[in-house]
Amino acid sequence: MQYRRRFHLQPRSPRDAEQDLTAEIEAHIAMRVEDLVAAGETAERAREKALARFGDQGALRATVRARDARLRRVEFLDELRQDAMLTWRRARHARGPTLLSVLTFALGIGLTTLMFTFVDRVLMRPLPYPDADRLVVLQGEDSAGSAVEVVSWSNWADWTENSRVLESSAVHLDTRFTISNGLAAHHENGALVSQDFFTVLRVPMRTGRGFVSEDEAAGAVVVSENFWRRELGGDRMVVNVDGSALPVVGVVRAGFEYPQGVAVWRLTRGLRGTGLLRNNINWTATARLSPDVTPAMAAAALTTTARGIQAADPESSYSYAVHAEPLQGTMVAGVRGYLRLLFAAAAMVLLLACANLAALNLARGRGREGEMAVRSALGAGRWRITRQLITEQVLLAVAGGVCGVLLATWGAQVLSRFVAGRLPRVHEVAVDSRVILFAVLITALSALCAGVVPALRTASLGAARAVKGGRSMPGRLLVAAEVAMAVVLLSAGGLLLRSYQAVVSRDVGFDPDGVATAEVVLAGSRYNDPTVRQRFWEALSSVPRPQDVSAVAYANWIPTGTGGTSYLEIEGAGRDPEGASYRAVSREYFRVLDIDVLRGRAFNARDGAETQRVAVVNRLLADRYWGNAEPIGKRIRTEGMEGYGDQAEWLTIIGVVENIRHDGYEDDVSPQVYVLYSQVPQWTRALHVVAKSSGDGGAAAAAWMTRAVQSLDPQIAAEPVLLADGLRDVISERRLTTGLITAFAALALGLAAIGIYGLLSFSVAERTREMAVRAALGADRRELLSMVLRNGGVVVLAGAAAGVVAAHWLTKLLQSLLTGVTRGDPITYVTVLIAVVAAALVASLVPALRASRADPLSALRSS
Amino acid sequence: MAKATGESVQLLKGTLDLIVMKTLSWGPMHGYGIATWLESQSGGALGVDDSALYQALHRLEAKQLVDAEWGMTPTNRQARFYRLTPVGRRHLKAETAGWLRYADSVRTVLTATGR
Repeated sequence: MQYRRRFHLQPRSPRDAEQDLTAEIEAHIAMRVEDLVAAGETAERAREKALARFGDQGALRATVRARDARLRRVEFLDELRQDAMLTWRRARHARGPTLLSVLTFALGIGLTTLMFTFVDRVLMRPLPYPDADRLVVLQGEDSAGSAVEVVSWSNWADWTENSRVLESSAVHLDTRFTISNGLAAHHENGALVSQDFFTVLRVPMRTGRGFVSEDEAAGAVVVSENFWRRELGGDRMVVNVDGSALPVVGVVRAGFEYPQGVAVWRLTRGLRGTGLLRNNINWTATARLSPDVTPAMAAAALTTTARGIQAADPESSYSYAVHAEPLQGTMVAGVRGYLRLLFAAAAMVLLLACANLAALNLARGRGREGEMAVRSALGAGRWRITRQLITEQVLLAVAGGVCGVLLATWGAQVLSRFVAGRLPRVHEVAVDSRVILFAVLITALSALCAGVVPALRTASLGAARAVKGGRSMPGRLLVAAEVAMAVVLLSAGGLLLRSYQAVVSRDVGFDPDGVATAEVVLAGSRYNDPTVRQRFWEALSSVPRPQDVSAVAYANWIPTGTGGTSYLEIEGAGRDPEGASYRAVSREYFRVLDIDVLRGRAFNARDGAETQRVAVVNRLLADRYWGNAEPIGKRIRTEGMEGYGDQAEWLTIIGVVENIRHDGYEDDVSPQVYVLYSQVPQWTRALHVVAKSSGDGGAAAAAWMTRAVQSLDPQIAAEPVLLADGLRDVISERRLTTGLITAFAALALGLAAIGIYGLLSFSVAERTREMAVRAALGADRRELLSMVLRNGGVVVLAGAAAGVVAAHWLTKLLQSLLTGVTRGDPITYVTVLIAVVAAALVASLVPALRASRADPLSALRSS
Repeated sequence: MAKATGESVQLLKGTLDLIVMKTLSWGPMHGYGIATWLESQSGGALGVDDSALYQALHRLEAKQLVDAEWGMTPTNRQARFYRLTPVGRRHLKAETAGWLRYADSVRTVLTATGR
């Protein structure tokens, strides 16, 4: 036992112990039989007696087996401790390689865990409401057969009334409320909701309740816990919303806000009717399915109802069918692609890290052949050596995993702060037990990939010691795979970068520079009269402003904010199927946003409430209907603030302006109609004010805006933002994803370079003698140099070629994110290949130079 | 040697280990050798099964009081030879002293002649 321990020899295997005992018993019986026969017994009788005298063999075997197992357990733990000590000693001895291994594990595990944290929280985890899998969003279908996300109150009410497939249903509309405490006013994100809204979701209340029918008469709100504490001191139950004091009937427990970010929910009663009112789609409909009803069953049942409505009311445009989509899915639909892509990219970095470590371990294993041979000669079995190597890798992986989880924790904090408000369901993305479990799992897998396979191989090499020569095929394959994966990630990053470039270099049609904007809502009963509202807007335009604030205008919708499409009819050509963006603007609007007037004129002082109704259209609309003909003087009709159908007046086109991308870079241009706000028959309470001060990026304009609104009415809130920020915001997901993928790709390239370096260094070290002999035989330095470079070059080129093929195939997944660039973009691939070759060259240089300095004399000395 | 004569004696717990070690104190011996020696010494009165003897031997081995090695008997047969380790030797000495003290006290008590 003692000597075995000292020399790390393998323990007795279970079979040995049992065989030992059997042999021992046999010998015992045989000797007794011999003695009995000598004393005169027959052989048969002697054997019987001997067995009887021996007694219970089974019990003896069991005891010995149990004791042996216990012994082996102790020994196993003991050896594990030894292996750990050995690893620790090696780690202290070779700090660089150890640190590199741990770091590589940490990066791979950390990034994958970080991305999992988001994927888990946003995509996988069920919504926090009871039986959340029964929550769906109801969407109508238009005549073209495509689902429309929003519904009209009338359609929703008619579809869901008395429905047996739905337990409950509600609609809501995102909005912004002006909250006033008597001294100052500010905006809060809010939602107008129908009565059953909180019943559908079963939102847990901090205090109070959801809405009931008695609330309808007096009006009521529900507020978020955060708002309640912040604005109402956590006890008051009345709040001034849009100028009226309303009772707070419930407080939503923190973390259960839906839609996310909403602070105030106000009960509302929609307009229910037929005809065009049925087509006024603004609302989002949620529903809770009855038990055991699937979304498909609900959709089928509701579609039957919807078709009946469509048949009875042919004017209705969005009641051809009903779709029931899981609520959770629709919430995250916009980011699902990005998140999956990022997770896949992180997983690929991890895979690459494992390949890197496996290759390094293989190479290092070859360097340790001597050690293995000695230990094997001292009697260490193959399994024992393998176990030592595996223990070593597992310990490194665990160290890397711990660092990785720390990295993920930190990354989750930074990233979630970065995406707060943009990414759905990211209240408190944090590393928790589920994430830790995931990290443990991938750590184990990584250790297996990176360590176990090479360890088994090294152990077999150590035992056989049969391998000669400098080429490790598995090592070369692994490094080639690394290069391939780096090429895939680089290509993905490159294509995204090129798309990003293409997107931001698009002309949006307006100039955001120096433009500040604020939504101003004229809340309160004093603004019930439309002429009072009109006076307010005119007064605002004439509030004196500093020199650098060059122009002020207002509009119902401004770029990068919300906006919608309205009915559009061309005189003589009928109805446009696409509809048009309806913008009611003030005279200076085109000047503030620097939108070019291409034909005719913009609105001017001669246009007023009493003169002819006029309109300005965009180039797309003009080209679509009049081509080269003169659009000026033609007439169109639209909705928006114009009244429905025949109530809407004909508008005479006076000018054509450049197309703008209303929602920013990613938006497609649609027909646009501008009308003069002072001419529209229905004035709204809410308008967006825009002002420009180019010199300082809009700071002066924003400051003036706040001051001006305050000076007219301190109960009105104005919270200016910069249009340039809004424009940047709409591509924030793309920017972040592109940035992260590019960073991952750079990391991948670095890892691959380390892999190449490792492979060549070890092969050079191994072939020192060969090099020396070659040098002695007259090979010059250049030849040796190119020999090593060729050696690495083959691996790199093979990997790169495989990578390009894989990238071309895998970037299919990117397709939806690519804009202005094709999947096979040659510039991207050429750049990627140049980068890979350059990195490979740098990585090969040091080992190649080392080889070229091979000393011919050393060949003589060592032989 | 079956149940020869007289009654067999029930061994006190732990005593068998001590006796086995004593047997080994004169030199390495295999299990059968120990068994026959015990039989001859006690006239079969100890009534120990051979398997119990081996239990004791393996128990002692696990405690590293004895160790074992395969070797040849004089009759040219493979057998596992047991040998006291140095630890075993010290242990035997201490235990023997303790046991004898214990046996003495028991004897003193049992043979006392009243007050």
